[in-house]
Amino acid sequence: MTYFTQFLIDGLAIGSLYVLVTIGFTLVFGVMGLLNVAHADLYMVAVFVFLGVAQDLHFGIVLGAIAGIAAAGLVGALLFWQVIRRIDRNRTLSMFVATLGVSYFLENLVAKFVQFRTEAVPPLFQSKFYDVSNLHFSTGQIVLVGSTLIIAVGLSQWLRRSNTGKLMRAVSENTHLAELVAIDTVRIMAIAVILASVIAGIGGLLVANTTLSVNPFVANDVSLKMFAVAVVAGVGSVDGALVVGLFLGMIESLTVGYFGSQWETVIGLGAMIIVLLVRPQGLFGKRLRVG
Amino acid sequence: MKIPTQIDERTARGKLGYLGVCGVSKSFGGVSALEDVSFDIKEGTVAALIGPNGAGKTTLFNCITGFLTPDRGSVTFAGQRLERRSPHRVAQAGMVRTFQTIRMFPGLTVYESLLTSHSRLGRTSRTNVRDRAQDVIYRLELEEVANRICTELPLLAQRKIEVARALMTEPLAILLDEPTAGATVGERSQLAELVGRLKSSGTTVLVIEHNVPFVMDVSDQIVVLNFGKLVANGTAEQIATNPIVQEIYLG
Amino acid sequence: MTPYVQSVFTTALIYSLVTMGLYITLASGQFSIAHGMLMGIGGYAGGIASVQFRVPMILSLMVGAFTAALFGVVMALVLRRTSGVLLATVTIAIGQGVSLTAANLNSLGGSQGYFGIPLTTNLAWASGTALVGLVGLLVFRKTRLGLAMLAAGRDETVAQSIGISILKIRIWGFLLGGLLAGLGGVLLAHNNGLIEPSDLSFANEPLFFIFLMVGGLETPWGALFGSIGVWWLQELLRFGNSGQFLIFDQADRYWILGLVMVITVIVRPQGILTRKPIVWNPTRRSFQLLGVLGLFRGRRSDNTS
Repeated sequence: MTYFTQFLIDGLAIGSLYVLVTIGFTLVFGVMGLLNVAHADLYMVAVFVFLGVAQDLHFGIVLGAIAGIAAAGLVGALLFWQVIRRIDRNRTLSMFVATLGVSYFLENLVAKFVQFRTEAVPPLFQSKFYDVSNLHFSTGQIVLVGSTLIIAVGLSQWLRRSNTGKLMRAVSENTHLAELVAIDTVRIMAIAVILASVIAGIGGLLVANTTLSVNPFVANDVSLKMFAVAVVAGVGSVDGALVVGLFLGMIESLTVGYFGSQWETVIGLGAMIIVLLVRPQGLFGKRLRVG
Repeated sequence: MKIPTQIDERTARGKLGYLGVCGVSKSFGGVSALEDVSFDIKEGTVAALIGPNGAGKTTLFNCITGFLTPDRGSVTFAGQRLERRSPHRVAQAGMVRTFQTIRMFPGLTVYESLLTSHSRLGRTSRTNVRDRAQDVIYRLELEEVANRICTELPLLAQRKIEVARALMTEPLAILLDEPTAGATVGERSQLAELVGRLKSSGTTVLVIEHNVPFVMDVSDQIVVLNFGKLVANGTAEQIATNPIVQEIYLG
Repeated sequence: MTPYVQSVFTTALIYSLVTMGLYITLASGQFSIAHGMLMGIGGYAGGIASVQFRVPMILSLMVGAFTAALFGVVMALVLRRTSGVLLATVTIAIGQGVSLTAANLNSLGGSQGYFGIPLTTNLAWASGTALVGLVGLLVFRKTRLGLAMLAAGRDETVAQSIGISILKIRIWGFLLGGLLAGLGGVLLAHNNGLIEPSDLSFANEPLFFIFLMVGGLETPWGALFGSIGVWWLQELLRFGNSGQFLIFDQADRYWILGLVMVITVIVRPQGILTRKPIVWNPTRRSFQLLGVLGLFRGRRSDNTS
């Protein structure tokens, strides 16, 4: 039973990573139907910029963290204005390929600067480790899970209550109709992309704070989980991503703990395929937004 | 110019183009779009489906052509049940439709758009696809634009291409969804002539239309829908004097 | 040709097969992007056939192509209710998942990969197979099914309305894509002497997209020339530090390729080579009948009439 609870605690931390990466991805997908392959790379960019500013340039942890998050937002903004806006919105394939190119570009550019190595990341704060009746957990994990809940619930409430959030949901429901009633869809899409990028950046820093390492190609593995969570939850659903992400993290942790690591990826994939067969719009999705 | 007819071929095979809609109902999330709609269309005639916006005309089209499955009721066509078939199998049964908003294959020329169509008769078709495309190009007077990209052509040409694409499948019936939408008066009369030519070649035509003169001009039979229900069904004269129809359109 | 030039061409031609597979799947309107995985599956199957059963190369190629095609068809059937961007998402995840699973399967050599595959691939095998793939695609495009694919790839709704079965098109798109990618995988395995889980990973996918997008995504020629051209470009960039390019060293080539891809998509979304339309020419009808399709059709109509 102790093991079981321990696996659950570790799983919550892993699941938080999935949630933080997925909510931004799913938001952008919902608002503009864009499959942004480069999304998980923003997470990596934030951590490397943090590393560079905080450690190599000796500006300290706080400035480093701010710079990392800002960098993720900046790259997101550049991605939107310089790449996505220049492509015909109806060419889904071109849009996808462009983000794929951006992903390849970012990963390999960063990789060049760090000589294709995995780097150690300094912690944001000194984590304390606790032992309560044989259960191990750290303040890092608590902060990660807590921040994830705050960000995800906050985003979800913001989408429901604020004016911009409501407009965003309107654009997501029907872009064409939103344009007809004179909603500035481009502004809304830009906000969605930048917001998503910033969340990915924050996620990167929080996760690196517990893993204490990062490599330029981490997005390839993160993306798999991100896609699985988004699809199972229903693409476009932020609430769904929170629930499914945490759940997947815990299930994976239990599976790896009891059956071994070779089963880790099978869970997410299996869940995804079953959901697609039974309920293609996802567990929390109202409808399919395709193309 | 000689217009090849298909009527001999069809009667030779002894098949009757005959469309029957029986008790078709369809609702979306509790809102009823079609309620118990029934009517028959005779082979080789032109029938029009009219009614105000939201009367369920396009929903009925979708139910007939397999893009929607009716909740209740049946659709029979040339002796076959169609209501549970997928769209491509409805087309293979000999019934082909066009769309309300024109849909061209982007980037393809007119000739290529025609080549992509499968004949309903499959490999047993007597003509090969290139000969058939040539026939259709001549029949619809598309020679001038045959090698142009579809999406770059004017509206009338695109409407003709839709019909041409349908004809490539060697259909028994063609369903036209608002062919005169956005057309000028001159274009409308050309389209009316086109419908007349389809009829004279033995094809059954069902057309959704808003334009009353066009409907009166081309159709042998008119079916009127309102709020998802059939309110009238008869010849042009009968419909023109029908008090309920007058109320819908005037009052 | 120096051995170096030969080896570069061999690799480029191997990749061109996978890129052709990507071309045909995308051309069928199926947004599937797991061709790296299909290539890897072909490589494992062909490699195992060569090592365990000592079959000749030609048979290895068949085994690899068949296995990958089979996997493609299974994917098409399982995901038949998914399309568009969602399909892309799922195929990426499947590719990544299969790669990670392969890394954990000890019978396949685990993360070290499957070793000891004979080094049979040479320029002749690569160019021969690529030629077969290219000619096959060019002929296929003119067939009934190939033409239907042209329609379904552009508008599935209209394609259905004129009697084309989308499921059939989808299955063929995945099948041919798997077949070609599988051939590439077998050649790759016999070129490197091993096949690794990382070969299946999504990390390779951008490369095939760069080849296709630069070459031209509407024609098999685009896949072929895109692969050869871009592969040579990266070879040139690779020797940047030997003095050809002063500002770049070889670690720069990948991000440069990424940039090339983004710029290509923005500036020329259809790629360099474009599809040559089928022209209607009423005065030359008799000559057209000499085409592959024409000959076949001509005989048939003689028989039936």
